[in-house]
Amino acid sequence: MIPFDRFTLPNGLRFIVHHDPNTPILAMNILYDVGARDEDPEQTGFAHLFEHLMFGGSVNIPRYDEPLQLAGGENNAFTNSDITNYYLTLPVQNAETAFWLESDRMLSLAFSEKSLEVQRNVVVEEFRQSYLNQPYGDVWLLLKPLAYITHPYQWNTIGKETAHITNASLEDVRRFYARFYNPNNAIVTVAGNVSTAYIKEMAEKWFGPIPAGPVNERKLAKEPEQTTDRLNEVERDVPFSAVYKAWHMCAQQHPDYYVIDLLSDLLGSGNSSRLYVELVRKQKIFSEIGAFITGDIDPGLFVVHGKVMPGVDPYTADQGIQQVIEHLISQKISEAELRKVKNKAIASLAFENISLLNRAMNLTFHEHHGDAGQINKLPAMYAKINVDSLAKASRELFRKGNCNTLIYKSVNKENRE
Amino acid sequence: MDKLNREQQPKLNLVGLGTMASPRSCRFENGIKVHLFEGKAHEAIRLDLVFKAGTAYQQVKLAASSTNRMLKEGTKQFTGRQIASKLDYYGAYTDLTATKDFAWISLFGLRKHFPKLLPIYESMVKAPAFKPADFKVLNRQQKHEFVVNSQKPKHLASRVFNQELFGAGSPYGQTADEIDYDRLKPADLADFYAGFYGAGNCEIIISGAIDRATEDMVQERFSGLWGTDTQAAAIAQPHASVTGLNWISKPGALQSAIQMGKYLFNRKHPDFAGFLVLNTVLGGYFGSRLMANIREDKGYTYGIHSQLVPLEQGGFFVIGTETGRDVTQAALEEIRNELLRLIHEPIPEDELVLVKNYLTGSYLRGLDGVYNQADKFKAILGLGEGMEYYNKVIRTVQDISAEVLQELAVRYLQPDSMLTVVAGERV
Repeated sequence: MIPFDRFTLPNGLRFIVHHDPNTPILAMNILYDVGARDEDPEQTGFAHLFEHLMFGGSVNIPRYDEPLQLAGGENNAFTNSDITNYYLTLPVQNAETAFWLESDRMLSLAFSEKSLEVQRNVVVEEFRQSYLNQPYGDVWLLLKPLAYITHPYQWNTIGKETAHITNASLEDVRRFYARFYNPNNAIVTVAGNVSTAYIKEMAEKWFGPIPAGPVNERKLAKEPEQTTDRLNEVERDVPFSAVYKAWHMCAQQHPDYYVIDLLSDLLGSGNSSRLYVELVRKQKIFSEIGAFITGDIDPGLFVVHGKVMPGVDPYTADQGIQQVIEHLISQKISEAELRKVKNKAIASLAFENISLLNRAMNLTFHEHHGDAGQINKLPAMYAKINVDSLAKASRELFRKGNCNTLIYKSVNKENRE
Repeated sequence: MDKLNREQQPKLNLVGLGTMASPRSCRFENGIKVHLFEGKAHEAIRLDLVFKAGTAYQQVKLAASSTNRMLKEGTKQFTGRQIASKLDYYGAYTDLTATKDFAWISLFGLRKHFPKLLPIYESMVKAPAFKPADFKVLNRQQKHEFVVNSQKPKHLASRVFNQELFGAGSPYGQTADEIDYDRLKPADLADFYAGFYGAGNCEIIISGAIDRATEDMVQERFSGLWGTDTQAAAIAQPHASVTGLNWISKPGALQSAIQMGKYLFNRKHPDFAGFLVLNTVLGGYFGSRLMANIREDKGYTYGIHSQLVPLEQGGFFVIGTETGRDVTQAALEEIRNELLRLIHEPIPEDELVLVKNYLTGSYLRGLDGVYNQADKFKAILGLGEGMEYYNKVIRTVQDISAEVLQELAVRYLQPDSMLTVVAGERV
């Protein structure tokens, strides 16, 4: 059980407080309800670029990092398709510094041309380091636009191309901030050896005076149901060919979400998973293989990815994956296998929530999805999944026409065993 | 809009250091030292067995890491598939790691499942089979991983840096090539296992939801005589001092990877704690000088970091980054400038206070929960000093002066005393 309290300030800012008496550290996590899906298709990568700018100083505090470090703290942030999430930890004695810093950058940023210029460069280097200068680094740049035709998930958080980042202007930045960085568009979780009364006092003092902003009405293009399988083939200078397959799955709020999560474990998580046992150990057509779900709020993707053994045609390897899936659909799943994936999911929850910061983050995410209390209901949710719900969800997921396949062909001429 | 003084940082409070909790330590009859970190609030247990069986001890390249990773691929009692199924069934996982000095076998699982997990774990530790067919699958996977990694500029630069720094044939300097995977045989692993895995060369750390029954179970399974009864003798690593610039050509690379550093010392050295502060100022945290200059001011890179890596015999200092290929030269210049600035100018008082506070905070983060504490303990296992060591370090950190730090910079951070390796396209 992860205990927590909840309150909302008059300006709409939501707070969650998780009391843990056994740690000298305080964790603060702030989620802004804005991600890459909220971007203009001509200005992709903006939410993430903006995350970088949040560290460039706010209206009353010229530098964010220094006072935090002076208080013994550390921080970071990440952006994905749905959210932008900022987090910090510091000794609990200096909790107020966290409120001071975070409230000031929610109040107003100190935008400067120099800061924008530098962060544009930093993000372009990040683009190169993570996507362009790595073997297989561009897979997601290829897979997402293959799978999505209209929904903004078709582009990656880093953006469609570096030009979108280099073209960002200070005016764009200001507009983005005014639209999304408002108390009524954020959730704050504070975790540590603190009382809710104290956090409420701090919240009212520092965040209370920030005016609410316009309500962000999200009108995203809905992805039409995919009815024909899609295929893309590319050639790259990589040592081994690879196969990536993505199927459209349900949104996070859908009752089947956790069923499909279990399905991804059953197929492709760990060395006892079906794909691994059949295609790596037995048939030896892949050297590695796995499956996961993208975990998005809107309908996301169920992904299978594998590196093909040299000498094996990637299309043959792809057929291997399809056979494993056909077998899954046509044969009854055993109770023992169901028990296994459930045990695994429930144990993972326990491992994940050992860290204070993870607890703070997970509480925030669940609140964002609708209810922080969900965090304590997950074990029971997994427990009630049965083989019939798995079978039904897998037939729906792997229906004909719902699949996107990326064949990533190695043009490496060296012959390897 | 409000009467708050938002320009003024709230008053900072004195942060008490608390104490690094020491583990409860004991010895089994066979001599194995056991350290227990108890955390009642948890449901999970982590069991770590550590052997002096890192890559520095191997006579055949790849033997140490492959022996370690083969432990879960099949034993005299269980096939690899059975091991994987059983671990997955109980929602547990194992972590197998070989560093330069140590080999770790870690098991992470819920306490309620430990009685079922321990027999499998015991079998992995005591009775690996090293079957040729299983070996072939794993070896091929590792080779593929290696081949993919070899395309990454960062990997190339680190490899050559390591080789040059310690000497290609030396215990720490050895690096594998693709052909070493083809040469490796199951018998090499069995030999390595026989020499280095056993009660005589092992320590145990248990952390988390430990209860009496769990303790007894571990004792029952690991307190007898098993494996080698000999502790591995310290390796002889020659001290090296290689300098200069080494470019590895990687045509078409958009970024170059830089590794720059030198052979230094480990935690036993009297200057270790002081150097920790110096390194933090230079490149050890987000607000470091290298980050401030090369990322936040110039935008040459997504990140740049430096660290002192302590080993059982000595240690090394390294600065690492990946920069745009057009600005690689400029980045190298700026790294040099930052080293010289530490040599020529004392660190200003406010910066020093900030870094000391930051390090104190990091120290507290290490106290957050038993698993963090156990990790801190694992990092100093070879030292034999216990957790009091950290209290000593943090006191030194808090007391050190800018003057002493400048002396350390003069002694250890001369740019010309460093080896630089760059992998990328030279423009």
